[in-house]
Amino acid sequence: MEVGISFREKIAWVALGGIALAGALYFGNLATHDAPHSYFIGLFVAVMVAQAVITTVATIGVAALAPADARAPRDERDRMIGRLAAGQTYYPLLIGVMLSAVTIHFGNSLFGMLNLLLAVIMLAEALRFVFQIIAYRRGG
Amino acid sequence: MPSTRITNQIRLLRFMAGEMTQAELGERIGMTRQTVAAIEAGKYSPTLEAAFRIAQVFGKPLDEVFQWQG
Repeated sequence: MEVGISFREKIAWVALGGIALAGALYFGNLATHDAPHSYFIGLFVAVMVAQAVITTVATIGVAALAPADARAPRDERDRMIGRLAAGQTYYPLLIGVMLSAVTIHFGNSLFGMLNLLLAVIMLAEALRFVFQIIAYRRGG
Repeated sequence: MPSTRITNQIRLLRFMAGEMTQAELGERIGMTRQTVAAIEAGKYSPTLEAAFRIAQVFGKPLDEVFQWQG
């Protein structure tokens, strides 16, 4: 039996798309442009602001299509899925952060380490939304 | 999450209660329509409190609404 797509699952898809777009924009530039650090700091801020705006607009659009679903508070299944997804990403995030920090002892620059940390955090966030979507697809 | 060993009669009880919709049941117990659908399909097991609320809506004992297939 098809359960249907809940509002919270749609938001998870929107958020996943936002993180993926932000990551692609920032790290794509990082990989292909040789520029001073100040350029990338400015780029990072711009990408984060753009991600926030796009995600907000998309969320408002999703809510406008199903206002009754959007107004409904998170129920126990939504909260459970949120907790499970956060728990499942905790150890990958922890390991990623520790490995990123260690790279500085192997010749990585501070700038390089910071970007690794950023990548790990963004990947962990993306993973959290992926786990939420999988849980919703399975029925919770 | 695989189907649980707990089955339920919620779909039948909704029909008998004046063809109550999933959304209407969800509103009465504080859950979304999708969560009610997941419970009916056996894809999600509600908390004990939620199960009691569902039984209360239909005026039935808990074991007439949910059955353990273990």
